[in-house]
Amino acid sequence: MNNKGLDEMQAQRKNKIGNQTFLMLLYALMIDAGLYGFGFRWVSYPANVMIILSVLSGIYVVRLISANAYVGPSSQREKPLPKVFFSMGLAVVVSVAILLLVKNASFSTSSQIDEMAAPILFITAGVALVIAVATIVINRIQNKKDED
Amino acid sequence: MSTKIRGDTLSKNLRLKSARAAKDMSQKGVADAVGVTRQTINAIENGDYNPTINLCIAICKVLDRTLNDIFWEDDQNE
Repeated sequence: MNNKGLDEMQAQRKNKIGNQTFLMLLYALMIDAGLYGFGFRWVSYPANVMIILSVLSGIYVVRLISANAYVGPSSQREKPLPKVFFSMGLAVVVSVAILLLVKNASFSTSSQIDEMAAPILFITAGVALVIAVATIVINRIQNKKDED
Repeated sequence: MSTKIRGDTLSKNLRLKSARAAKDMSQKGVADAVGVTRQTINAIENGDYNPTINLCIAICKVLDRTLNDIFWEDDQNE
């Protein structure tokens, strides 16, 4: 058996989730384009596509984690919880740093980046992180229950 | 003797569970030996996942059983 990648059940689940997310992305972009056609613009151009992509890629990752199809058998050794939370904290710090950098950079003052885009993206990332942490905790509880 | 191949609705595979218990192996032990995740073995035992023939053979080799012993269903083995 291949120990490096995902096992067969994980690969099957990953394919299914990937297909569903791809269709969701397509529908979301079409709805966005349709709303624009009717004259309704919820966020200006670059931000709307970025938000849709961020949210759907977040959904994709969270669903993969919750379906246990994100990492393969070889890399599934239990990591200590403090290390997981440290990684999460580091991710938050890096996200904030990047957002501050982008906001203060000279190119961000042009009309290319909407004022609302940064907070919305930050909120999206924050929500995704919270969901990811919740998913990890749920997985750990389920693992303990399943153990014979 | 009439035989039945597993359909879409899978039943719990108690024979796999008992074979594993007979070898005194945990789900994790079988999973590591076969090269899949523990959740995959759990899903097979609970009837939530239909494994490929390659995985069935690998499980049978680890548990020293035949495919008939663990995965074949007929009137006697159901």
